[in-house]
Amino acid sequence: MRPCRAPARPQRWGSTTLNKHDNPFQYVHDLLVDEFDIPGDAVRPEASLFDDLGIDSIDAVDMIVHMREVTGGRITPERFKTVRTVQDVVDLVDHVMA
Amino acid sequence: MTIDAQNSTTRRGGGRAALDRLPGRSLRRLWTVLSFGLFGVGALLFGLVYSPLLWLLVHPRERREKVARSSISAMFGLFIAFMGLFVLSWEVHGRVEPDGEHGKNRGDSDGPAQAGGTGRVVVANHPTLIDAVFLMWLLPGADCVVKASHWRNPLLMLAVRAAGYLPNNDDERLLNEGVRRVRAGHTLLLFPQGTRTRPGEEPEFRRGGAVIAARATVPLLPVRIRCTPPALRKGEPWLRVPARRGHFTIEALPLMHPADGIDPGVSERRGTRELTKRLSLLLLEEVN
Repeated sequence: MRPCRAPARPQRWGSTTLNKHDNPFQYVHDLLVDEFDIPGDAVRPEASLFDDLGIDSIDAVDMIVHMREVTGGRITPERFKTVRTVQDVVDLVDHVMA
Repeated sequence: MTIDAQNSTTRRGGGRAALDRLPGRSLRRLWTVLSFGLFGVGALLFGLVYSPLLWLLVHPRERREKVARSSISAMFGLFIAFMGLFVLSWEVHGRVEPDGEHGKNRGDSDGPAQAGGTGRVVVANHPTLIDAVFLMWLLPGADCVVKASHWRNPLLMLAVRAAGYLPNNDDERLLNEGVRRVRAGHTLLLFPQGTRTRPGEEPEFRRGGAVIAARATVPLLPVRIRCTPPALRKGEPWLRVPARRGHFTIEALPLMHPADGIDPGVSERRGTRELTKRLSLLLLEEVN
């Protein structure tokens, strides 16, 4: 695994807030870039978390923990199990925020 | 059979080399059946007789689990001694158990002293069916990450519950509990490849062990297991006994500290990936 530093970007969301009106894609994008060192341009809706972005099972736990914080405990590992792509995560966030 | 941990860091057991070929294949096949039969009877007695007694008599839960794990370790020792009569032999290099766990040999550990003292994560490769049996025997009282299906296996379900082992199907609990337990001074045994090596396949190591060690700031003990000729492998019926008795070599390699050789600025994610890569090279490397 080679180092892949993301370009510095302004943190729009802080790390633990997500409001109804915020853009869920932007949140997922920033989460992947800031917490998981994934280059921003790789985070496209159709990208597979596991095959394209190199998210492993430990990362998945950390993602769930993070998302649970910002959504108030409504994302469970069971729900996350069906997730394959970035868009799936966005849909999940969207769904629990609705 | 000699077990000598006092004067030397190598201990050997099972038949002597001259006896390698002596027990014929059919005797070894029969003995393998008897050994696993004994294992089953032991597991049944443990589950139906011993663990209810533990639930009744030993409190609190922490203490009960510790007693259960030590008892399992002792039973596995018997099982290995039994197998060692005819079907396998072994040698153990280095100290697998933590220094000072039994109040002796303290202070020659090469890492910073931890609050809990002996907490560590033991990671091993997984060539055979009985690797966990060997290591749980060598690590009395150790916590272990165990296949989740054992919680539904009638023979093993009471034992794994009594011992408070960690099932491998809940990553979040595994990480949190793993960190909590090694911080409290437990030894946590896990097999990063998750399942036995399939002959001809390169197993992939998962980084949970490295993450637990990094988050708890405890050392990792890599243990390399070899069995020649190969026996009890994945995808092979265990009655297919090899031409000679299987000889196990179990090597405790030098402790690794999660921060060693990794730049301080590197994220935990990348650091533990690199560490896991190094571990897998170390443990899967072909010796000789």
